[in-house]
Amino acid sequence: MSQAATFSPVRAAADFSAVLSRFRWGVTASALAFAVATLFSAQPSGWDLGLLLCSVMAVLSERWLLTLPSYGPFTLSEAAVLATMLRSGPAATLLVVVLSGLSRFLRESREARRPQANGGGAEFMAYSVSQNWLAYGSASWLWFAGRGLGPMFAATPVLDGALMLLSVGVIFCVQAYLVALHHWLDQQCLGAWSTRINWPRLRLLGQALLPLGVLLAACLQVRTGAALLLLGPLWVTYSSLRHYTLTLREAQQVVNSLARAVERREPHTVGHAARVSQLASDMGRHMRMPESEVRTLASAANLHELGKISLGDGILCKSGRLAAAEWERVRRYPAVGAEVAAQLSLSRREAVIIRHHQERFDGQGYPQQLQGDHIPLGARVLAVAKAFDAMISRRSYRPALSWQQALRELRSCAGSQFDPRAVAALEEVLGLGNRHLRAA
Amino acid sequence: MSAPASPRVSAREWSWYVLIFSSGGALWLWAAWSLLHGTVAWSSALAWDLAGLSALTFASLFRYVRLSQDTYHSVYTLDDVPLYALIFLQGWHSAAWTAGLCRGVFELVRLSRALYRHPERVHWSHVIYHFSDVPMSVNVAAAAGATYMAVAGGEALLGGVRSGLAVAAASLVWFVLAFGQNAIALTLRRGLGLARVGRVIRGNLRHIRLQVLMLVPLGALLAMFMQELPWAALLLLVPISLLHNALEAQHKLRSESVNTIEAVARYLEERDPYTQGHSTRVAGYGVAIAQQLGMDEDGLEQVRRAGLIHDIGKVDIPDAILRKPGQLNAVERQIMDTHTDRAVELGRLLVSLGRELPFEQAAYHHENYDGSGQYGMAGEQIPLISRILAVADTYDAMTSDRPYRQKLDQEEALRRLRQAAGTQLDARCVEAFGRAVEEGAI
Repeated sequence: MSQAATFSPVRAAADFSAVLSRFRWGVTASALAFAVATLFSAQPSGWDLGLLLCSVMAVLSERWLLTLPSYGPFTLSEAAVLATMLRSGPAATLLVVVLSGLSRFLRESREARRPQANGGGAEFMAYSVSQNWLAYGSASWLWFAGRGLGPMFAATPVLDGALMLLSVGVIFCVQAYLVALHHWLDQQCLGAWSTRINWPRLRLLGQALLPLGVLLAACLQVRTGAALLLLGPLWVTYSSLRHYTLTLREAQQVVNSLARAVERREPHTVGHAARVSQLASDMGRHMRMPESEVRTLASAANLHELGKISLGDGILCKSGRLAAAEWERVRRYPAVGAEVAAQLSLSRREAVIIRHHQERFDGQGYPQQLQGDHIPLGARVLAVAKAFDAMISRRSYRPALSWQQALRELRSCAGSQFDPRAVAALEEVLGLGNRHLRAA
Repeated sequence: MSAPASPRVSAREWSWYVLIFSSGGALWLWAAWSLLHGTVAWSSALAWDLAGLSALTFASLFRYVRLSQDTYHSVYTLDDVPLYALIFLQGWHSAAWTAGLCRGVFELVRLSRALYRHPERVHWSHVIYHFSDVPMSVNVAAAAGATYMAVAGGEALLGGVRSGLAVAAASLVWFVLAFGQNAIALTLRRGLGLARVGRVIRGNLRHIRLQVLMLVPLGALLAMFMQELPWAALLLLVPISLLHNALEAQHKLRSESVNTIEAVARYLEERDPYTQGHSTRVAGYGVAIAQQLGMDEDGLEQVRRAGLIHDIGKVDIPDAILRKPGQLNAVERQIMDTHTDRAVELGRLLVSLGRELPFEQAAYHHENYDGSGQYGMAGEQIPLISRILAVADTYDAMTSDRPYRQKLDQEEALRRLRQAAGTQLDARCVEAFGRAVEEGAI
């Protein structure tokens, strides 16, 4: 086996994608049946100018996608869908869900750089519309069957309140579980599926999107034109957040490119951070770290050697023993990297991992001689991934080890230098790609 | 920024305060008198609106976004929203009265907090400056409210064209007065000429033009909900706080990104003990030159940052080349030249912070004035900041020790700078540097 092939965890892509696709088709089929039943059931018509406005808003807002660092990509279309659900009944909800899904599909097919991870194309699009429809459709039936249509909080305020909470709860549950399952299947079933529940996204739904939907319905209830007053502030918020994401991306690119530049100073470390980042995140998933922490770990791994900007070549590329003063400076580099990363308040958690990635499990490491569980979990995982990658690549003073040799070495240091759990996770991730499947 | 040492209050500033406090005070007393003596008819709706919206005004004052790192910062607050709602619902009396009351209490709270935390930094001139916000906001609310009432003529809010026009007119008055007053106060406080007011306004508006405009529809919605659907008024907190958080995050991120790059530049210097402090010194010299050339505060800040980051492209140049005594050979020269390319490249990555982090200007500091440099730019083609940094960088290189030579003394270094003026360096910048040395700024 070649070096690269042995290194990257064996991924049985074909097997997993079959399960994933079966899951998607199952969801799509049940949503389709639900939609047909909705269309053929008798409902009073809630079609009015407000519905038109909601549909237009759902369609247009799909074009303005925002990707906030801690929340992932989202648009305002869900607020429009919720407003429709509250005002116009299940059939109208279905219409708006489908319209916004189509609009999203058009946007995504226009964008050349679509993430391939989702399988892409019409199949995924059908799945994501179905998932939305299952969530909003069932909530919509609950609301509609419980109280019919009509002004909110007017005739039966208590019932309205209870039903609103219930429907929102339904939306939350469907979104949380279906998305988590899908994500888990998509990531080769590493770790437990429940760690894939996207809590930040649910928080975003609860704190912003759903209240905005209720507000939109309330505006339409007072006067149809009043909803237009809401558009301006929302647009400005969008543009402000867009500026924010652009600046953030640029700042991260600059820091990343500086980290790559540091790597280039030592020829044999080129690509080290990227490989470590990939390996560490797979290990993290395997150890059931929540997805947000896995992402933090991945980006911390990308930057973990940034602190070497403060080291001269004399120290950095030296193959022999370091003098005491030089050693002192080497021991500072994790702290320097952490200090730079911590300037962005969004990277504070990355900074913690970077600071402690040279700690040893027995407390003999640097910079703070932390021991055992006092070392942040991410830092322990990163330490193992980093050591493994260092051992299987060539150095000026020794040839590369095979990965079996490297693993043996790591195992012998488990408990002293490394966290045994992290070493075990590495072993699993490396060799046993499709064991999950056989077990399932 | 360090705290300013007890600045004096000029006669112009005093007359401004007299004007503002007397007009605002008179308007507030008039509003209070109208409310108390029945010129305005009391109703439970008025009481409810006043109480609810005053509370909201007061609360929203505490969530402000600083628009600059200046000592006399101007802030962006959300108290406009409930004040607009009050204008639309109850007219100017209640709005002016609430504005004065809430601002006054807010400033008192801030003052007592400041006295508690760092009494040594509180100076009476700042206190007057900050308290002048109170009459200013009374003026704004009263003028905008009176405009609305005059134009709308009793028509229901957004019930027709006339009321729509009234909303537009009131917001126009609001902006002109709010930004005008604020800018004049800020200009006087900084001791700048009144001709600079326009620039101060532009500086304040740079990032928040639309945000400020959007407070009007939110105010109108708030008024509408208070009348017809009180439970939904609470939900308005969501878009309001989203707007606010977005703006705040945007501003915070800008300064954090700048800090990140500055931290990188700082740690980069530790690589080589001989260049320790080099960038900071270059930034200092650069600012001194820029001051002599009469650049404004924005420009000085740009020069300072450009100085701090001017060598950031050296991050992957091997030490063997960086520290080589004597001439570099062709290959080494080529590698060395990539450091400016890298700075340009970083600048391209960081487009949205181009103002704060002038990478390109910093990159061209090795260009020669006569056009014999790496990129072949000559004379005025080279950005001014780069020409300034070229002088500062050359001077610092000459006056610090290197492994292969001793440092020069100041006179000798200055003499050599003057020699290079016109060929390698811009004569104007060298001259400005000479003046700065004479004045003891360096």
